[in-house]
Amino acid sequence: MPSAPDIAPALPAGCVDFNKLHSLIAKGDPDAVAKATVIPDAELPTPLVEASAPAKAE
Amino acid sequence: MAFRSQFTSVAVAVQSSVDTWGSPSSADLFPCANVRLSKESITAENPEYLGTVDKPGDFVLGQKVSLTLSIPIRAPGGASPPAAGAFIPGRFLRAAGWTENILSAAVPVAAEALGVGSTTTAAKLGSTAVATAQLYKGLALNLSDNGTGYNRQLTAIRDYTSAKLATIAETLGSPPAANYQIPKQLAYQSGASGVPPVLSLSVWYDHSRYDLLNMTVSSLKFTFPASTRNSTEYPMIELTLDGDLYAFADEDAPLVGALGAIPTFKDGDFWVAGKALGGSSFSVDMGIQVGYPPNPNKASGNDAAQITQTKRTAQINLNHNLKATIDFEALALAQAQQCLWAQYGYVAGNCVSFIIPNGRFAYANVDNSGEFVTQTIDMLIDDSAKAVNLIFPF
Repeated sequence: MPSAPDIAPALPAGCVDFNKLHSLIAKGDPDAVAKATVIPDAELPTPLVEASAPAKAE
Repeated sequence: MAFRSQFTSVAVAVQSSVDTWGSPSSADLFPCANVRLSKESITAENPEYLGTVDKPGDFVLGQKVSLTLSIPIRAPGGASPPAAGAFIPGRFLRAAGWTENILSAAVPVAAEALGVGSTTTAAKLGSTAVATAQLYKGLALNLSDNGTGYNRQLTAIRDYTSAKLATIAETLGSPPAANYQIPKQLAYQSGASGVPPVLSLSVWYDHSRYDLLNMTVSSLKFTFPASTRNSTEYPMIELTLDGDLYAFADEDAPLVGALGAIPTFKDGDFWVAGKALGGSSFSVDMGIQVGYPPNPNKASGNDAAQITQTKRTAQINLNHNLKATIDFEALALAQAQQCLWAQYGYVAGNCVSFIIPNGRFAYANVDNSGEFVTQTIDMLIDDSAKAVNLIFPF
């Protein structure tokens, strides 16, 4: 079973849910920071509009 | 009719990516002071000879846009930290390369007994604490037997080891022996990894609106003047941002809601190198430098500004102390890491805690030009992660 890292990982220049980070670090999850990073809705990239499918030849 | 300066409004949004307008809305308006939009032409001398003493005028190559503003340090209020990204001053800190660390629940949820091995300067955390060094560095800590009342029981963690020993910023009268809890808090911690976001701002001057894109924090300072019977100052964040003009339009300045009183720096804690000391103020300059990578594909000829380095320094203004109280000569000679911590405010959601866990002292300067003899000390900061921390405990 993975154990908590010896040293705290670097945090991003963003928002972090520390409670989630804490729980993941306690479980030794190697992706704890990525999973605990929160991107506010207003800062999410605008979804790209899907290109319409090419028309089928009859 | 002339435009009136009092009709100045500012809104800010974090951009999803560089060059993408963040569309700040009415929800992104916030009260701020000393708003100065500076637009400076970039000119170059025209060296062409025209067969006359009359030289041609300079070429106009573009413009530099910068914005300075000040934000009084006011805690978010309420019973719990706000949602991610909702605390508007925090957007500037994230753009300066800080992390917004949100503890929406205390750790542990219910106060827990301390472990064995606490001292007057360190608390041995209990079973819920994770044995990961520096995980709690820079966060507020509640020790139930550290005085009476919410604010008195709060302290701050300057170092945390994998042995669960949390070194604190103050020196207690006796080792803590009851319960501990890392309370709910909104913690801004410097030294984040990765590329900070850039900001979109709208600035209104009465009937005109300037939209600013790719705004990068090029200067960030914190000032914490003590609130006394003679002082009319209060803690502020002072910012300068550099970027590009995105749009310019005629639009009336929107109304910005007042946020009310702010906590002032008094009746709290001011600890330097483990001693509670009197003094008039301290300030912290994050020493940000920005650069503009050249890029002829861009309208301005360069990419958005990027932070290229920071050199963090605090200046501490103290009443002169006895050598027996604190020997700044010896501390400067030793060059060991020392802590600075300030905390003020009375109730959860309206407290401010500010900690520099480690810094070396330069030699103190002495000044007797005022009513009192003072010592001014520069604190030189080496740490990268969590070097400067602004915390709002709940």
